[in-house]
Parts: sequence; C-alpha cells; structure tokens
Amino acid sequence: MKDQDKFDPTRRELLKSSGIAGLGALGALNLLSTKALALGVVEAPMNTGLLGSGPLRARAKRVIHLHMLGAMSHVDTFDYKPVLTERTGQELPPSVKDSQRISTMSSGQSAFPIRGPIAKFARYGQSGAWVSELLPHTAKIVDDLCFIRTLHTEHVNHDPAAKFLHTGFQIAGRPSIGSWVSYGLGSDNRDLPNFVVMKAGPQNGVPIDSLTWGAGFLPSHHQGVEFLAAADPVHYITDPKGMERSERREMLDALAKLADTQYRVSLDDETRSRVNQYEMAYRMQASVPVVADISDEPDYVLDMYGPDVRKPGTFARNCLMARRLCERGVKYQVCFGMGWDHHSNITTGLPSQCRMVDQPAAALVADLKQRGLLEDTLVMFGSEFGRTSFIQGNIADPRFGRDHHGGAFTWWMAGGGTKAGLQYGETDDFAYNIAKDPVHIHDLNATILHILGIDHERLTFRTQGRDFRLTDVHGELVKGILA
Amino acid sequence: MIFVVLVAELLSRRPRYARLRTYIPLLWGLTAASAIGTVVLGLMHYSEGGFDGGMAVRHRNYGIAFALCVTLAALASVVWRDLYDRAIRIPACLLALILITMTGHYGGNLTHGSTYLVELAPQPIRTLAGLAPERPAVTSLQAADVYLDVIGPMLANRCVTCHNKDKRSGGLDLTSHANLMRGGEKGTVVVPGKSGESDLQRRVSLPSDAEDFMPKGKTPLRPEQIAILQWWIDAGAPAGGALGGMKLAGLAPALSTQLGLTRKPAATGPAAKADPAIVARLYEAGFVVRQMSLEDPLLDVAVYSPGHDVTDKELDTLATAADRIVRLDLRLAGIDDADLKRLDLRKFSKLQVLLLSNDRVSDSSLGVLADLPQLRQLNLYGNAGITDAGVASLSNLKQLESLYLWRTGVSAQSVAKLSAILPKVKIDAGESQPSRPAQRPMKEAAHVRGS
Repeated sequence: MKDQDKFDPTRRELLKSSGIAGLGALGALNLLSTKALALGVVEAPMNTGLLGSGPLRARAKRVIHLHMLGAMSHVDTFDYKPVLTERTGQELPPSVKDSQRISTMSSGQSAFPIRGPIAKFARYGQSGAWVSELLPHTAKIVDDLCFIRTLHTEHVNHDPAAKFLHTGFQIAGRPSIGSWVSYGLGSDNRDLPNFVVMKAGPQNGVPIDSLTWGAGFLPSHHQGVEFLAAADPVHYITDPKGMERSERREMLDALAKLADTQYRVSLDDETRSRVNQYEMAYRMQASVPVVADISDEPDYVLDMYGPDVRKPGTFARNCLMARRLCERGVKYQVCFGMGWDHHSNITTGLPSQCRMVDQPAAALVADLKQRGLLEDTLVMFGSEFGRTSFIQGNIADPRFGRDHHGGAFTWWMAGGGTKAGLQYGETDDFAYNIAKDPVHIHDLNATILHILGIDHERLTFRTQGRDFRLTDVHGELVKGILA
Repeated sequence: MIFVVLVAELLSRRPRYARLRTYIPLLWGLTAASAIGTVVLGLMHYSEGGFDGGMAVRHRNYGIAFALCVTLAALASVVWRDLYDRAIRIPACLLALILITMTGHYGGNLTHGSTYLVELAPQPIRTLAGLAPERPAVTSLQAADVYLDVIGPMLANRCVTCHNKDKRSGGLDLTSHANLMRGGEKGTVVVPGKSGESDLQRRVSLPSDAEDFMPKGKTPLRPEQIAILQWWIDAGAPAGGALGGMKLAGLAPALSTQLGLTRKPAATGPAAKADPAIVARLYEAGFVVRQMSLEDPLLDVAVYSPGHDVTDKELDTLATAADRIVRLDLRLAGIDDADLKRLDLRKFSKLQVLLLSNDRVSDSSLGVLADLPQLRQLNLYGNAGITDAGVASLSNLKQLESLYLWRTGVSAQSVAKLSAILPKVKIDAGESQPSRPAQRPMKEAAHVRGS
C-alpha cells in the first residue's frame, strides 16, 4: 500500500467522512431502534440483565461477601505454621522476605522479628482444617467451607487494595463486581436493589467510601445501595411527615414525564437510569421496612447469630439481614466487618474482632444451609490482604502488631458449587510466600463470575473507546475449588 | 442507470410511451454523473496500489471509456437534439452496453478471481479454461488435506476477494500455499511454527474495528476458524498432508465443522434459543425466566420478587411452559396444594430442581413428586403441613440428591427412616430446632406487584 498523506484520502476514508456510506446510515438507524426500545415503545425484559442467561450454567444465583476490612491476620486465624512459633523472635530470613513489597509503616524497621500465632490452633472436622481458637464457631463448620490459602494482591494499602478487590482496579471509578453482576444478570426482585452493602464494627479504623460499590461507567442504577443501622435502613426512605404515598406517586409520575421529554431530546441513557432509581426507591419504601423488621424470626434462629443480633447495625444483625435479603433474591451483598487493621495491640484487638464476626458468620452459613440456600448462594469471607508474620513494633513490647501483607492470605468460601471441606493452595513455612496454586484477585473475580454463570472475558462494557471488563486482560478461572 | 436509459429509449419508440422522450436527456445526465463519480472513486482506489496485471488496467480503461461515452451521449441529447435523434441514439446505446459489460466483467475478475465464470462449470469446460480438477468432496476427517481442504478453502472464502492474483491488496496473494508463504509488501505473513509472530494470525485475531483487522470491513473469522489457523501455523504451516497424520489438539470438532462434515454447533443456531414467546409470556406473568445456559434452551423459572402470592392466572401461564422447565423456584409465593394441582406437576417432566420453601404445601401434594424422573433437589422447608405421612411417599425418589425438611412437621425418626431408604440423599432437617414445632409465618408486604 502506498504512503498516504492528508491530502490524498483513500476511497474508504472519503466515503466514511462524506457520510455517503450506506453502512454508516444503517448503523445510525440501528441505534435509533435501540433507543426506541429503551423509550418503552417496546418494553424490554429489564429484569433479565444484559445476558439474559450467562453463557455458562450458573452454580450460584447470589453472593454474600463478608469483607474483614482492614485486613484480618491470616497468620493468627487460618494459615497455621508451627515454624513461626519455633522461630519467634528470630529475624524473618531475607530469602523469604526479600522479594515482596511491604508498606512504609514497617519498611523503616531495623529488624523484622518473626512472631508465631497469638492463639492456639487445632484441627477440626473430617476435613481436618486448622483453625485458631479465636474462631470456635467457624471451627465447627469447616466441613462446609472451602479454604483458599493463596490469595494474593499487588497492593499494600487498604484503599487501593479494597478498590482492586471490588472493582478490579486500584483507582476509584470502575464498576464494582456487584454492579457488573447486576448489569449482566439483572434482578430477581423488583422491589429490592440487586446490590446491597452493609457496614458494621469499630468506625475509627480503615475508612471505606461508596466508590467501592459504585457503578463506574455502567448505568448508575447498578450501583450498590447501602443499608444503614438507623431508623431508616436506607437514607430518606421514609416520606416526610404529612406527605401521602399517593402524593409521592403523583410526583414521580410527573417527574417521569419530564424525564421522558428530556430523553427524547438528549437520548442520554442516564435519564432513564435515574427514573429507574426513583421507582426502585418508591418500591423500597414498602419492601425495606418488611425486610428490616426481624420480629418474625424465632428466638432459636436469632440465638444462632449470637446476642449482638438483637442490636441493629451490628455485624451479627447484618449477617441476619444478608440472609433475609438473600432469601428475597438480592444478587450481590457485601457486609463489611470494620476494624481489623492491627498495626499494634494485635493480642487484644484481634480476639475482640474475632468475637464480633465468628458466631454470626458461622451462623449465616448454617442458616443458609438448613434453608437449602447454600445450594445456590456463594458466601465468601476474606480481607483485601493479610498481615505479616514478622511484627510491627518492638518484640519486647506487648503492644506489637503486624503490618499489611499482600503476598499471601486466606479466604474461605461456602456454597455456590465450591468444594466443601477443601484446602486450596499452600504457602511457605512462614505463611509469607505462595508455595503452590496461587490465586490472584483477578483469578478470584473471574471465578466468582464463573460461579454466577458469567464468562469474565465476555461481560464487557464499551466506554472511552475500548471494551472494559472486571478482570481487564487478566484472570484465570480457579477450577480447583469448583465441585 | 444505463439500463434505465436503454429501457426508456426502447419504450419511447412506441407511440404510447412517446412522452418518455422528454426525460431521456435527464436520464443520460444522471448516468453520466454517476459514471464519473464511480470513475473518480475507482481511480483513488487504484492509486492506493495493490493492483497489478492487466485485469485492473482493463477494468479502469473500459470504465473511463464508458464514462466518456455516456457523457458525450448526454451532451448530444441536450445540445444537438436532431443529430442525436437521427444518428447517435442507437450507436451510443449499443456502445455503452458493450462498454459496461466489459467493465463489469473485468471488475468481477478482480474481486472474484479470473476463473470465477467457469469455476462451477462441468470439468470439460474447466479443463478448457486451464483449471485443475476440483477437489473431491471430503467424506472423512482423517483423510482430509490440511491445506487443500481446510486452510485453502477458508482463505478462499474469506480473503481472496482482495488478495488474489489480480488484486493483490498489500501485495499479498492468498490463492495458493506458495503465494501465501511468499507474503506481501511488508514481508512474510506466516512464520511456520510461530503463530505469535505471524502477521496473518495477528490481524485476524484483532477486534473487528482495529485498524489492522482482517478481513477488513467484513465479518471476523469465527473463533474456531482462528483457532484452526493458529494450530496450522504452529504445526509448521504445511502445504498439505492428511489430518489423520496430525495431532488435532482438541480441534477435531471445529475441523469437522469447517470441512462441512458436521453442522455448526447448535449454540450458534436458533435451536439453542428458548422460545421468545414463552419467555415473554412468563415474564409478563411475573416470573424471572432465564435459559439454563447459552447452549441449553431449557428454562430456569423463579417467582419475581418472592413474598407475593402467585395468582391462578399466573400459574396457568406457568403451566404452559411445563415441559421446558428444569429449575422451578416458587419460594415464598403462597403455593398451596390446590395451586400444585392446578399446575399439574406431572407435566414438568424435565424438572430437576423444585423449590417450595416457605409455602403452604401439605402431604397430599407429595405423591405426585414420584412421577418426576429427573428431580435432584427438593426444598420443602417451612411447610408446616408436611408430616411423616407425606414424607413416606418420597421414598421412591431414588435419583434425588438433596432434600430440605427444616420447619416441617416431619419427625426426626421419620427423617432417619427416609435416610436409611435413600442413603445417597442428603437430607437436611435443620440445625437450629425450636423446642416446639412452632410455625410462625413469614411476614411480607402487601401484594404490590403491578402497583
């Protein structure tokens, strides 16, 4: 082909720029008909999502992620390494430590002394999983769990690591996995959002912002909705005093008409997305109080979750809420258990955090199981990263802690077609590096989507001139954990 | 356009259509304008290169001659009207007809190859035209030739309209193995054994809107075709050889499809798509409907928004899709024995998963479940009306995998008895037990569907 310059356009370019090309015109027509569909001239089955059905047979319909925000120490809870106890006080061998990036909070330390787990470990169940005595209730259900000991991430700070975990990218702005699921699979309940987020635990720890469950460039009605502990479980869900529901209805109808006029001019999908959200909020005014009212739960069920369940806003109550929402078809839920950032005082801080989550998390699995919901619900328990097997601070000072560690950390999963009683992957003797079967965050996300029946390479959204997906150009399915 | 002129000229000779004469100058003018436009575009395309040999030159020259011819005719019909009527009309029409035919013929040769006229002719004519005997039809995967039957035809179908002897876009001719290996202006396009370094492989694998994507402006190759191409290049890009002698690396089904031995997998055909009318009907009736997967058109149906009682009308709609439903989720939908009778579960012959938790089903409904031959998962939790008597009738469900009986009236002894009869079934009667078999119904919002 000859060299081309600006003044010598090819035939193809001339046709394209002059708009003669019939293809271009056809494309525009096609666009218009899609818009006509969106306008409601022909109502598309909005509830089935983009995919209608995933390309794959779904193993699970829903996901509940219990996110221990701040990073639970895998060294003291699930990844038992007796060598650490034997070598307590000794320096972490450079051959083990060297290759990994560590946070600036401990990188200036002159020494990196090993500290064995702060609690005793024992093996439980038929699967013989090692669990620390800090988690006695979890220990009872290990045969229902699938442990992954080799999660790893590039990030050593909470915000980028949490963003990376939930959105596949360390900088805020991409859609959260729950939004992708909502976009791809649609809704199972027209009265509740597809994606719900709850927070509980000490509020003075690591913060988390709503961009973590944002919809990014996806239509905004796919964003996560935060449920609160307040009298109104969702912000502004109750009409102001003196306002009748019929008035609200009239207002929304008028608003929808205005939005429709606007849409016909602008063809901006976000206009419709917003009306969608108004209508969802209206339906939630009726549905949310019912879900939030737990007076129909018998005592023997409440007792499973522990005493905290009777207090709104606790991790235990959120676990119960998660089960109730899951029963009603909410597709993706994240329950943040806050307060795990044990840079210091881990010997007192970690046990109290474990007490907060252990019984409710185990009860959630057991409660879903007896209802048959574990067959098609994936429960996940894990943090944005783990903690170091060397200590942060001074070994002689009992106020020592552990720093961030992205190189290897443990999660457990239950249900959703994962292998119950499995221990997947191995770390080295120091719970520091991965010895066998690494699972990167992108691999984890690819696998979660797979379990829901979505091929992570095929669920894409075109924006800014390229097709984006949750796992970018990465992600290998972790077949080993699937039953 | 020229044919419109010819028809108009012919018709206008008859008195009845004499009025058409008025429009003939206009028609000639339009023909001339479109011919000139086409020539300009054609010359631009020609100047981009990639054409050598007489075919393109002839196409160009005849095209220009045609444009000249019709332009002159148009002029004549306006300026020298008498002369036109007397002497120009018939010769101009005939000349234009001859010129457009020749232009078209050479143009056709350019895009379809110079043998396209006789390719499908009987072999004696093919031989006369200097064509090799046609490949015999492929009947077995093992005997098929990797280049002559697989790669060659694939390229012939998708690439040679632009990359042939006469129109060598990018200097590339893909009509034979030797020419393919010779490459184009930018060098070789196939590096035997290294698909990763082969430009051909790279370009067909690009997204279809990429600048370098091939076949440019056309439908991309199918993923299986791209995989076959990659496999062939990695195998050393051989010029021939029976498939039977090669490692097929799991591509046997794709190769078989490519050779036309098997039809395309059903997934790409309409067969795998659930009947949209049924889906729409169920959706209208308030159910969430999904295909089991893209390959499996059977249905996964659930109540949309659990917590609202399903009406009889909705149940009737559901029953119309009975034989297509694999998974039926009627949790928390107020289903009672009368509802199940109305549905007639016997018709749900493909049902594998049936979820009736927190409904109002009692013993009398359970007998019919024995007639569901594929049922794997049955969830009856939260139905107080189910007792030991009813559960006894489940003992025939040998194929069952899991059964949920928490918060029913079934006793522990009865569960143990059923476990003994059905040892493979995972029976879950619940971990947390009430001291009394209290059944507090779940509270739900008023029926708000359709509000």
